Amino acid sequence: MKLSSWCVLALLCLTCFCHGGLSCPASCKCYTKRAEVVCNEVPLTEYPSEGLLKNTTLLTIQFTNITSISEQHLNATPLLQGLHLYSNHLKSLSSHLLRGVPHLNTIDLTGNRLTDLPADVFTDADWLHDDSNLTWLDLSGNQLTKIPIGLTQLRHLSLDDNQLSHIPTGLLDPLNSLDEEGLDLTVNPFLCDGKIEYLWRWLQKNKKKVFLPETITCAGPESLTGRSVMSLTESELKIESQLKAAVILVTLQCIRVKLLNICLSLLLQRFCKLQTDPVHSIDTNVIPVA
Amino acid sequence: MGDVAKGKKVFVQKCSQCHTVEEGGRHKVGPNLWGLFGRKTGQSPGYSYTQANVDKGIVWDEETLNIYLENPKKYIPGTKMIFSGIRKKKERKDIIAYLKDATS
Repeated sequence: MKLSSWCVLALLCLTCFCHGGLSCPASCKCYTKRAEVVCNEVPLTEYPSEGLLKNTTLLTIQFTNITSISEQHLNATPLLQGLHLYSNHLKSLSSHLLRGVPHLNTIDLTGNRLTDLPADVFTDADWLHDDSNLTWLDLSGNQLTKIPIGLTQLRHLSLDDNQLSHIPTGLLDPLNSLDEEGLDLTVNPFLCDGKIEYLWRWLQKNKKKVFLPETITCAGPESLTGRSVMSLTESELKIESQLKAAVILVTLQCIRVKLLNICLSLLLQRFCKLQTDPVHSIDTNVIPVA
Repeated sequence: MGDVAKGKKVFVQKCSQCHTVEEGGRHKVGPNLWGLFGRKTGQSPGYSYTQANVDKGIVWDEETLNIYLENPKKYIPGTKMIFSGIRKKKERKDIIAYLKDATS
């Protein structure tokens, strides 16, 4: 009697095991019908690889303490369509992060601690071409100083509330799939020196594609703080670059004058030496005649 | 009582990129919101919600919308909606007033 009870118990445990009793990461909730996994407000410090089913299509990890995510992590869920990583402590993304998830259409990285992204994080994957599914990327609320390149197929790109101060010339040109108001650059400390001209021109040309373009403002220089980038006049832009050029010119002039001074004093020194030395040499050459 | 006109302004600015409100309006990135009040989560016909959203199971009214709109991902973990929320209580009140007016 006792042995059969143990057998039944063992069988039950085995059944439980085989039916995926461990097929949901610890502390997370799994909606098996749609292959969705939600890890919300739990004390995770590492990406929850253990128990993540291969057919997962939507993964939400939010309000946790995870600090990094890698290509290896994502390779475990090759059918992933949505990656929602809202409000964690992500400091970095690894290179080739997206290589193993060709069905990805949405990435939400809002509210993490991202500073720099590897240059190839959004370019180095076979499937990341013009017809790929990746159309929505949210990077708002981080500390990015540079815009990542690639992702020409994006319809929506949120970069608001970061630390962008410059947009390098040409960087926004490849974004030709943007929806109306699809690009958000608000709440960034843009420096409105001569280098802002590219952004200024791009905004004039593409304002329909930008969310609240008139609220993209200058954080400096002091004379332009608070001004909307779009409101800057050509002459203000020119003045800024002219001012810079003038400063450089004046500095060069000062250096020239200083060098000239040094040369003159050197020459003067030599001249004076010449004046005194010949007299001294004549005296010594005089031979008294008996 | 929220201000419907002000609410419309906020809606247009922050929500209309993904949602329509009128009867028969199309689904965009997000569902059409006609008939929202008094309805359970995840019920706009023809829109593909996440299971997490459908399972939330609450009924939309002024109170639940107020909590939701402050931080959607906190209220419905696992939602597809990518929107960090409307921090200002007054703005939420206005937008809720507008939604009540425009979706019924």
